[in-house]
Amino acid sequence: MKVTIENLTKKFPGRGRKDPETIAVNDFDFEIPSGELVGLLGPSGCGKSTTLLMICGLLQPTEGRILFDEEDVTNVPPEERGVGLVFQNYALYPHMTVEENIMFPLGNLRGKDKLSKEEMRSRARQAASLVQIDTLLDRRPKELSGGQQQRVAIARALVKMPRVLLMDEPLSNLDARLRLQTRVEIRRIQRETGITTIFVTHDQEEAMSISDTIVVMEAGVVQQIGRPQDVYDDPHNLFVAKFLGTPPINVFEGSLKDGKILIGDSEVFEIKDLAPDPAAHLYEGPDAGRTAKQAEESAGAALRRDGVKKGPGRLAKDAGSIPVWVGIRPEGFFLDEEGPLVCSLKGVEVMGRDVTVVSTHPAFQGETIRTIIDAQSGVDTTKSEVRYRVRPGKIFVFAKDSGERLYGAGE
Amino acid sequence: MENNNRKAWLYLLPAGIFLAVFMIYPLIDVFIYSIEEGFNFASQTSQGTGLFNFSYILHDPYFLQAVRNTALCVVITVPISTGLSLLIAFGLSSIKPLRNLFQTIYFLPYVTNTLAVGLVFMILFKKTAYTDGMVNLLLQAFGSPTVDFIDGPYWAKMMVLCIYVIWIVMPFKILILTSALASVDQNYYNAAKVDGTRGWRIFWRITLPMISPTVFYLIITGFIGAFKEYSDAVALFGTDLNAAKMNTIVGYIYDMLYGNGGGYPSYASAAAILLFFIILTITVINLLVSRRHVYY
Repeated sequence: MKVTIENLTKKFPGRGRKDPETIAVNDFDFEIPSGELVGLLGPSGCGKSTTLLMICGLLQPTEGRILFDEEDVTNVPPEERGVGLVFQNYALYPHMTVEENIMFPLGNLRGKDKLSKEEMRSRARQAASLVQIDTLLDRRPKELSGGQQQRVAIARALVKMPRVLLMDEPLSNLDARLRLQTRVEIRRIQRETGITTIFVTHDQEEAMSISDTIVVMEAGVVQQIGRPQDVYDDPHNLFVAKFLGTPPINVFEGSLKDGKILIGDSEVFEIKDLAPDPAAHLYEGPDAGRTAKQAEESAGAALRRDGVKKGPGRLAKDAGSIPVWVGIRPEGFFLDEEGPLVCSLKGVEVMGRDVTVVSTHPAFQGETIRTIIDAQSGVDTTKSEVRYRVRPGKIFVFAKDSGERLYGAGE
Repeated sequence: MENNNRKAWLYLLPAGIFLAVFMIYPLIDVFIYSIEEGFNFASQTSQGTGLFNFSYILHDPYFLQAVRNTALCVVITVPISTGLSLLIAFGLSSIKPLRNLFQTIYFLPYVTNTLAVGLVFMILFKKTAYTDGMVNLLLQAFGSPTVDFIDGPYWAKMMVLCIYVIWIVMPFKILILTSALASVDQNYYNAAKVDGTRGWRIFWRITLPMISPTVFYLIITGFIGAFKEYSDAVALFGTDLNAAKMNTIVGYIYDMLYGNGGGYPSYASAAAILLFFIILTITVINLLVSRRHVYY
């Protein structure tokens, strides 16, 4: 089922004359190809749950249309849309057993769709075995762990064979380990059923790890839509760059002059290599294994998309110095005795595969700079300062006022 | 640990003393009165112990009448008042505009004095030399014969009493049920809605089970309250309830103690003990039933 969202807008009226109306979702346009797993990602209050509820039908949009394939469902009540919804707190009926919970949606069917008790039972068992809870059918929700309750909720949403599966923060009530396990599970179930799935999360790692496509939202406005890796490598603005990635991107106050990126007075990077960095695939960063060809493709895509608007040509012509935000991914640093970026060293956190170097810099926005360095490269912890050089493709320049990206991702 | 225990008992002592003096001692005393035969209050002497007091009241037509009245009142008012309250509470929680106004209106009887309400019922039901009462006027308008609800046939009096009791206990039940309904997580309704659940099914399969603890609480306290029915009957039929054949068990106990000069504490105690066991039995049955139907 392809889901198309056109100019979707939701305004909540203000409470009284002085309280202005709230625009929860503003002019959302998006097409979700059939069978994809899409993550709506954003900080709390960004309108992602509102979007989900509008797709579900529990909320009526103020403007815009929602289409399932070619069918306009904007004014169709939720029960006729054929959607399954998994609630954040699961909303399992506490007085019913697992089996009764899963069977409940089937009991609502009327007329020609009405099922016999036996059919209902076998459908419920099918759904239960898909999420691997067949042994728990006689329990009540209270007697289940959080992860099991989650599965019951998914089974209940799947049992009526929905055209679209919607999940509201499906993992937020689980502990860290279970979350990892369950997100793999959700991915598996989604693949097996092939149901177009939209889920909402504020956890970027969760969204990145299982989505085919992520939609980054803030304050009701879609910031960027794309494959997780593309969005990470090619953030359109400062918000997206900051929101994706752990540890987060390091943002410095800097300036741009004659095609050079300056942090403080030191020139950290020169914008000249338009071609993607041929060494991009050689370092052992978190996305090691990504081939140079892929890197080239994504960089090429970025160039094609941005075209002249953000091309470096425009930047090069700017003679004066423009103040900008400079963002560098944690894996975008490498140690260099002669490196232009001089930071005062605060400490080193050993993670095994690599180390996190914690340092500070006067131009840095935030508490401490966190960089990820290969464990072998070795940091001299006796020194009070650490010097870095910056990897191409990992440094981005954003406009000071709008936060829009001016340079980055191999442009 | 030992020390802590001692401290705990010390802290409980004030409450314990009050309970012992004002609850436990009188209870034991009532029990003793009830088995002392021919107890004389003035001389504080009795002629012996036994079950004569129980035998006496069980053969007393006034007591039997009181038991019948009380039982009828319980059986009629508890289900009707609980059901109606549930209906009204459900209605209240489904409407948005004027909800507070209606909530206040429904709550008014609760803060109104029983005797004042009795006066209102007199205006509605009582036949006097000047008027037949509003209900009778209505009946006349529909061409049916008038009935004396206050001094007339037994069924008419019982009906007025039941209406009165139902009306006076409903506000509290509505209040409790409205808050119980409000505390049901909206997500359950959303989930049901997405699944296309119809209104009645939502009510029977989701709402009612969710508020079942509250409903059973109201049924149990409703039973207990109805068994202790007295003041409402006085408000309607005056203090000589035996003459009106509208006495209740608590009314009988009061009459034995103070009515007509009173002075029969032994009979009163025996009746009180019987009432206690009736309420105990009904409550235990209620709890057993509720255990099967309440999920929390």
